[in-house]
Amino acid sequence: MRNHVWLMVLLLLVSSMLVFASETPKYGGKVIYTMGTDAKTLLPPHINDSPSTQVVRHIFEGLVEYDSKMKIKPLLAEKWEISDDGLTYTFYLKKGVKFHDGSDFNAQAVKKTFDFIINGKLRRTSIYKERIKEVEVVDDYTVRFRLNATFGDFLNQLASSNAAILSPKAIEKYGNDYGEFGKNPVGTGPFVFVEWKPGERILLKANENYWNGRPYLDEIDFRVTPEDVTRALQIQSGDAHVSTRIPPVMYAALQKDPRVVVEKVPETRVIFLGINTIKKPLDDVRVRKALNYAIDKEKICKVVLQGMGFPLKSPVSEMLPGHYPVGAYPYDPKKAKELLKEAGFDEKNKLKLELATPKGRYLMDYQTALAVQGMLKEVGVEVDVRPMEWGEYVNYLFTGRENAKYDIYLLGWGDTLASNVIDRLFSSTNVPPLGENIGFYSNPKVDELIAKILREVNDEKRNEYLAEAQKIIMDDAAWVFLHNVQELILYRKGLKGLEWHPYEFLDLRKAWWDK
Amino acid sequence: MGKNPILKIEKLTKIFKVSDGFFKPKRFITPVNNISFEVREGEALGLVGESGCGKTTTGRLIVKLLQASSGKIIFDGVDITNMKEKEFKKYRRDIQIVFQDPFSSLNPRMTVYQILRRPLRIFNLTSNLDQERELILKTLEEVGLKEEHVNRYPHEFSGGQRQRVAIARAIITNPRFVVLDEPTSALDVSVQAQIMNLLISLKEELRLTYLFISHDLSVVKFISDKIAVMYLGRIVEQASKDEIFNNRLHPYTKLLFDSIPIPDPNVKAQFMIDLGELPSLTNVKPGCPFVNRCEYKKAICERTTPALRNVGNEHYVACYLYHDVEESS
Amino acid sequence: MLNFIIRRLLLLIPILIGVSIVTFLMVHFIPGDPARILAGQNATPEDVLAIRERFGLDKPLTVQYFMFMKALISGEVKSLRTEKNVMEEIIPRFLNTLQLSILSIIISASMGIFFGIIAGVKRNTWIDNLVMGFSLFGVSMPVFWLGILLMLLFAVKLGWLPAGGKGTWKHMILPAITLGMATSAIIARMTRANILQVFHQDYIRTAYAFGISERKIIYKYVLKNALIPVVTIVGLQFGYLLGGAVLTESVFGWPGVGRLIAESIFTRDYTLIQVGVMFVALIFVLVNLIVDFTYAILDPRIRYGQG
Repeated sequence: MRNHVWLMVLLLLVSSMLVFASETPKYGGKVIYTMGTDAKTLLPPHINDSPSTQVVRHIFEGLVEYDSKMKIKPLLAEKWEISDDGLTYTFYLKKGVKFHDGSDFNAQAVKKTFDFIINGKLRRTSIYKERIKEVEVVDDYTVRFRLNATFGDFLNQLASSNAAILSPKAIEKYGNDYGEFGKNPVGTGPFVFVEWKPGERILLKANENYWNGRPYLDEIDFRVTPEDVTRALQIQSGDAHVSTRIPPVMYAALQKDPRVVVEKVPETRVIFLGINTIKKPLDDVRVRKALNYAIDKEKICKVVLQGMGFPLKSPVSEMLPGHYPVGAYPYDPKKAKELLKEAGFDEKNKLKLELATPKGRYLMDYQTALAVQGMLKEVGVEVDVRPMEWGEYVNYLFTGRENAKYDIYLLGWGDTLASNVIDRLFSSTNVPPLGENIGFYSNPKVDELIAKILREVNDEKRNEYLAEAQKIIMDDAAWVFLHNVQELILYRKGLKGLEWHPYEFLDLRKAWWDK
Repeated sequence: MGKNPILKIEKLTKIFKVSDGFFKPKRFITPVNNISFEVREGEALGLVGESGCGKTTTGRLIVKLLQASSGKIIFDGVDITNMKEKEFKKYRRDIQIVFQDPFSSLNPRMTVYQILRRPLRIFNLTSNLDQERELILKTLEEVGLKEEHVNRYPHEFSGGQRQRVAIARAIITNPRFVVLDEPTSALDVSVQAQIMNLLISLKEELRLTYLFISHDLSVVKFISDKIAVMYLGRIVEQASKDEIFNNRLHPYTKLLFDSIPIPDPNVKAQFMIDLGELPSLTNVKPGCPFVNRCEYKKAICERTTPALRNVGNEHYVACYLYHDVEESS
Repeated sequence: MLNFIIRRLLLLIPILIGVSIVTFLMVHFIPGDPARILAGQNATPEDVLAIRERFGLDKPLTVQYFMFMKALISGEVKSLRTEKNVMEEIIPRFLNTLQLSILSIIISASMGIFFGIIAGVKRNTWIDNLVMGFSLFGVSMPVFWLGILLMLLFAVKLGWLPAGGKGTWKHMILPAITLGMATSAIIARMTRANILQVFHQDYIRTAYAFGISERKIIYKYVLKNALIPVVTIVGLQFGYLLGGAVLTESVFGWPGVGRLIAESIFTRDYTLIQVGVMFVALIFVLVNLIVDFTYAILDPRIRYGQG
């Protein structure tokens, strides 16, 4: 395991050398990052939205983090050891790291953070409460986590921004007043919090004493503008410098603008039509397969998404380690008709379905639903598209087994873990009203595999189980598998060193201005 | 009662252009169509007709709120029809008007004093403030209001009191001719009588000449010396009050006079329905204006318009039943 | 007058209680489980349950209402979304809306009254038709379209003004114009209508019968009387603007109170919606009160004795 880490470090060094070889970064300047929604809180374990994550990842750091390929790499922990039984993780911490308020980063700070997480009522902490039995200070720079059970993805969960290490002084000061704590973030990261005007801006400045050297930028100014088109205009006019979620219709025009760079980047988000597998006739796998064959995924990606997506080869995004390319259902309306006929449906006895969808939540969600409606009509399935406001939609889907009236529903899922996708969306125990297996998919073989996946510490073995599960789920046609969305990011020419992470994080920590 | 006509109207016509919208052709309406009459000094001429017959337009033409399309208005021997405003100004104080609705005729943001002061200042009728105040108070007294009313705003008065203020404003310039455009029709019946009495006594005291416009024959009868009946922009009959009440000739006058309200609103309503719908003023066709509603009509009535002719005893009527003179245009 | 003010202010109490009940009920009748939405996607069932419990969202409605009112009276209502005191969220956003509303009402009232007067005085001429045509355009122009168009022209092409956001006075110009467009059109139409109405009054005829010049009649008689009701319209429009303009604020990224309330509706931030709506209602009623007073000062017909 240790060898593995060193290999990673070496790789990282090589890759960063490549970057440095081409251009020498310059210091100075400010970046205005314009985003669609304001952060809710800047208290990491309390965060459950991506704008807040986007901001805190510049202020806080965890023991480990993901690289842009979603692989684990060290951050505040220089290295770690995992006991043979997989129950104990020992982290060796970086020395000489200080929080922005001057307090020292050490094993006590790590323990204090996790005690705060485990004992509090924070919003994104249940996974830690469930896994961690105890955090033990071995010495000032060594800390040991003892788990309740073996858990293959524990390091991944520590890479989440929810597990960022908080200043012990701040924990003392704000304690359980999460509102106040959320306004006064103190971390170890390359940028220091300056001010937050709600709905308007969050200003960060360079951490002059950053352990890895001062960042190139002097300031990052996060601004809020809900309208996607406006954000693109702001980059074009120079009022802001970088933004995400740019409308695909603007792609061609932006490519022609010499002032800006527009880039298509991958996400881990998959879009699918969930199927209520306990409702007749959707409990019939032939019907579910027919639906999959009837949809021209390529065409949806090309026409509806305007190239901003590609068909799914498995329920897990290609961007995630553990993805296994099972292969998409080919577009075959003839086969779809045959399967429907076998199941007892034809022109006289038409299959009628309701397709519920949010509108404006995901890229072209409603338009995708309309395209699906058209394609299913071709094979003799009548679809009633029912768009809903997000909150209402969530309510509609989480009614529980007895009240589940829905047929098929359009949904998206972004994640950092393949195991999580399989467990949360396909385990027969994770069903509504609480769980997110909204289609009530149930296959004992998959349940068995999930149990193994969660326990398995060995990456290779875990990936085998994951592949097996993905094959079964595809073959069961648990969803109508649609596409993996992509995203457009836009920034001013001259802004260098941006790094996009597919879990929707645009990293400005090493960004610099070439002016 | 003098014999000189102070006001003489000759072949007066008013044509309005009406636009129904950007792309529709323009239409013309003729609310006053070739009318002639005269009013002698000290006399009161009652101009009666249904609403929309052109009587209000006639009043407004006389005080030159509207410009006549053709014809003549001769005031005190002078043709004022096309007189420039500057020149006409000296006649303005002589010709005043009282409107129907006392709630709209007084500027709500002025006190009674300010309202009455305005004409005095416009026509330079007083030389100093004391005189001004004195004249205002005197006029108020003449119309039956008190000194304490002088600083009040119009909304603080009842309808009758407001009409008294409007009358005061009309007579304060010491005019010779007053157009009274339905001055009592917006008022309660009990108040109407008071205002009528006031108008009659003012006429005597101040030697005024009235053109009294009304749709209400019982009111007109009360004040007028002569009566002119108007129908669709034309005068169809004109005579002294007694003559017309005893010997009405024109079929329209008959219809109109038969519907004189007995003081019972229900009965009146019924008569009004019998009068039928008033034909439109637009697209005036040749022939007698009353032809469509007339039970005595003859073939000629459809073709040409009868002239207003004296059929004896200064009784004028425009009807082929009594003469065969055609109107010349 | 003082009596009147006190009575009107006391009337605020039942109004606010009414608003609190109505918004409370409305908020709870919007479908959507706030705990799940607040927990966000990818939340575990435990996370959802924890939030539900923490904010008492599992308690009966009456209990929730009294909990809310208790917190409201002690001034300690916290946003479900951010856990900050709601007033801390609302006040800065409201001040932003206020800034924009003031500029916007200045622009729209001056434009609206100016063009309304021109149209009214030149009634039924081509000028009138032109102005009213433009005002129809102004009322019916979608904010989104106008806002984007203005930014494309003045920010992206010409670079004179910033494309949205908040900062200097320059940032306010485009949103204020966008916001004021419809308002100025409404004011222009009302001004014109009032002028036409006053022109039909007999005291204006009397003034003409006295031979007073047209210009004098327009300035001294018509405008003085016609503009009083316009004060009400301007005041009412200002009240509406203070409620926040969601679309304009979204298009221009202006951090106003309208956007805040809209966002809190989408995220089912019950407490913020409730207090936000009550606050906006309070402001609206206060603005109306001020308009009424102004009206009383301007128009002698209105008196606030015992009536």
